[in-house]
Amino acid sequence: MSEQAINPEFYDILETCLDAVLKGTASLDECLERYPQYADLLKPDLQAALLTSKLKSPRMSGAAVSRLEARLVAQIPKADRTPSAKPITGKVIQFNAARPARSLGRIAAVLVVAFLIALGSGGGVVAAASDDVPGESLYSIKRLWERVVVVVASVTGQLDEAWLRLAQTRLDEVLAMAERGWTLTPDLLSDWQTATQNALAYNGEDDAELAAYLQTAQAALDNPAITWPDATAPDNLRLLIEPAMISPQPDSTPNAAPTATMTATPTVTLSPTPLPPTQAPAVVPGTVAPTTTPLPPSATPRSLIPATPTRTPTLTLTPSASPFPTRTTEPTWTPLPPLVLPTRPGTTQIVQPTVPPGQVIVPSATIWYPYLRLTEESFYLTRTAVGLPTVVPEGTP
Amino acid sequence: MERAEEKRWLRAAVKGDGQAFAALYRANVQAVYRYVYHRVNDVHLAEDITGDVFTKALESISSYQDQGKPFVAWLYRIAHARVVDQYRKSNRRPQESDVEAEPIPFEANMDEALLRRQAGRALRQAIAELTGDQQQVIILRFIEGYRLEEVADMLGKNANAIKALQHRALRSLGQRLERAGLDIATILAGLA
Repeated sequence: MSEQAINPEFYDILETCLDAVLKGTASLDECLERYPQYADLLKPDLQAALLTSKLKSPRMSGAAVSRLEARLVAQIPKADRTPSAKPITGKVIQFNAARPARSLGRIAAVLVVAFLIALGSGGGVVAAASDDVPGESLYSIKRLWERVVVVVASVTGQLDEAWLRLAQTRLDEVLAMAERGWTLTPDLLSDWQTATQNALAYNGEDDAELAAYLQTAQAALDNPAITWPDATAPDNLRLLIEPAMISPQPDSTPNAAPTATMTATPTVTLSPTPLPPTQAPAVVPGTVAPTTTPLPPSATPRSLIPATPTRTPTLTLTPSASPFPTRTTEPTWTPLPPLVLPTRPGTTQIVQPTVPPGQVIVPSATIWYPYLRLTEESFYLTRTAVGLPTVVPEGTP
Repeated sequence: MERAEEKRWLRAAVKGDGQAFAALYRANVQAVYRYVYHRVNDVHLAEDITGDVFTKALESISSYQDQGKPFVAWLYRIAHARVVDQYRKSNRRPQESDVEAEPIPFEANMDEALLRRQAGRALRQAIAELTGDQQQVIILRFIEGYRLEEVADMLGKNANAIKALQHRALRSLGQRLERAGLDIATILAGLA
């Protein structure tokens, strides 16, 4: 009888007979008599199973067991200190380091981390390196910057977030290399494993973001487009990721698998802290300019500065007339027409990002830089281009 | 080691308690060794791989998450990966033709002890020549004595798949033993 022709019922009967024969509640012959229609199939299987169950297995010698135990014990302190074979940060991060309590110092440190990440993604060489993968020119700068972030995160107790971001970054690099048809480097794999291991160590098992990362990482392990340095390369990661997954099939609720939020770089979710309104005066499109009407003396010193007449009266940066600017928790970017700034050599125009009418954009790392430039320009104008008003004593004719 | 006790050790080991890990090692080392031994059929290689398994387990224990399975299931998974690694590295996985090339002679006038030794040797060799999945089912089900549902759980497959796999493994084993000249009925009668 071929395997294709086997009635599924046979498997159940085989299992019943195996249980009975192995437990000794029935003999092999009794089983064959009970199921004569399957006797020919059952007999060799039951014989092989019975013989195997009587096979004596060797034991590892006591000396070998002790030797191996001594070797493991010698490694235990090292394993306690560093959770991975090749930690990125070496001795800086303590595996069981207690997270510092929240305090003003911690909050300040959190702001520093946010600033570092924003700076790394907002402009300059570090931002330019953010999409680089191993083998590209700025990749080492990217990695250096990550070390700075991790060191600061170890002080502020944000290692959970930092390592998860780094694990996602490594995963993004793996996928980017796969897209380009490049073979992964052993170093990248090792670093990916390290970051994943640390992300698992520092994040709670019920962390939705971690679960989403694990799910994406597991999918990547089965991605045929990825060229591994050797066939066994994904095994270690699989051992790490699969046992750590809360459930192989996450809940079908939208929050259970937020893979849609996965981004190419980890910095996007860490948007820079918006400047408070006092540092970034509201940009008011001037519809009627120039104006020479002085603002009331009760306004803030900056509001005493009259608007400067311009030769091309299109837009004027003027402070908000309100002495108490409204603070918005989520600053919005209102689309503006091209802005012409007066009389500063070399900086006459700032190109605004193209925004469809009516659309509001939340400032993110990618548009942070021009936003800062705008602030700088307004600061320059208030300090240099405009003279302070003359105070005339009362009673003077 | 009882499951409750194992859980206590595991919780401590995950937090970096070396003594807890040592206790888990002592409780599971022989099971891992047997598993590896039956897969590679080589005492020294089995010792080396068992050492690798626990070294790897120590490195990864901080990320271990209890999913309700016995700890040894996790160790078996590591062991399976190491065995596969070993096959790939050495490229020495026995081929089916090896059995026919070097049949183990069984003679009618063998005394019982010798017959048993030869039968044991043939059986171990036959197990080592099965596919990886078949080996795992045979070892866990008939040597380690786990129930079919437990084996399915450990291997991450459903029970029906394991039932079919179990049948294929037993049939393949029987055929290999038959080709090696072993009369299973006679051996079993001698063991009874």
